Amino acid sequence: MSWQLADATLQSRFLIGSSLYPSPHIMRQSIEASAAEVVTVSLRRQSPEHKGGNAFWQHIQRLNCHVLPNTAGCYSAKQAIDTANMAREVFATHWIKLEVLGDEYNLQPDPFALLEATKELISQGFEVFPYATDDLVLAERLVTAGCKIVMPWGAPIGTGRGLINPYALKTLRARLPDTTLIVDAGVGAPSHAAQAMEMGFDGVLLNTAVAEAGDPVLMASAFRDAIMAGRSGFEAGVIQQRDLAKPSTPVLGTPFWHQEP
Amino acid sequence: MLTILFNGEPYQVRHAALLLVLDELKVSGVCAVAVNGQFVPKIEHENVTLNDKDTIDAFTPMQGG
Repeated sequence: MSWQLADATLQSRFLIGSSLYPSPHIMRQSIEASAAEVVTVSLRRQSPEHKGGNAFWQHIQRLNCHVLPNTAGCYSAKQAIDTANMAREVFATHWIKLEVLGDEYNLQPDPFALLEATKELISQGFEVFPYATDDLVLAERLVTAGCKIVMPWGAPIGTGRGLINPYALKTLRARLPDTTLIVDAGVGAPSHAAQAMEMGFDGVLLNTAVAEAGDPVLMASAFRDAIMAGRSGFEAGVIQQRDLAKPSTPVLGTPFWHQEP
Repeated sequence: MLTILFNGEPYQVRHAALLLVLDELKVSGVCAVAVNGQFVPKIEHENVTLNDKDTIDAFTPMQGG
């Protein structure tokens, strides 16, 4: 079933990164296996004489996916705004995955600089995909600033720890029912992605869990299936947990139902 | 001759006009350019004149998560 991500109509709810793969060939095979239609990319200072950036860009263009540039490595609103403007020119898209980090140890977003950069970039016509923590008030401020999409972390980038604060994520989903919410970062196993989707998140963005897997291509397909299964589970309606057991087989009419145990 | 810092390395260039310096440095293809840390959109390249010791950085597409 299709869904709307900003101005794009997509089939897949899996957004995938393009970094850390053992080779460009495996990157391409993995992204194809994921069935993702959105791929994150970045900008780096590099000697154009080496043409490395252009070779990578040609690989990405052949995938025919939507490109979501990031502002990775930025530690101030100004850096992120400048990077976003460069990305808009290079990648010819107004989408930006806005990362403004506040801590070098766990790469935690700086909520104050993130909000500042978000306001400026929205005023410049960007579709901002803010990489945020799972803080409710921050998410609400981002939405008030004009974000249609918020991307809370499951856990710090690259840790693979899964959803470390399910309560906070459930709260975000409950309090922001009309916002597109994508769990971004910290996902390690397909079951983590399925868990996020069962909670009602609109999508999952990940990179390391696929790229650094023993078999990235197989892992990409495992995440693809987990995200689809989690979404189907959410749409089907998961039953409420109970404290007491309840037989699934009707007791009435079984051979000894009327006898004492 | 001007001495400019291009992607962190010193270069001697014959021109002062950014557009000509980029050509001299063989900057082409898909990239964004910043002068002295400030992004210069492509449509403004022809309006920028460089000074001695200015810095130029060129940014190209790279893998990202």
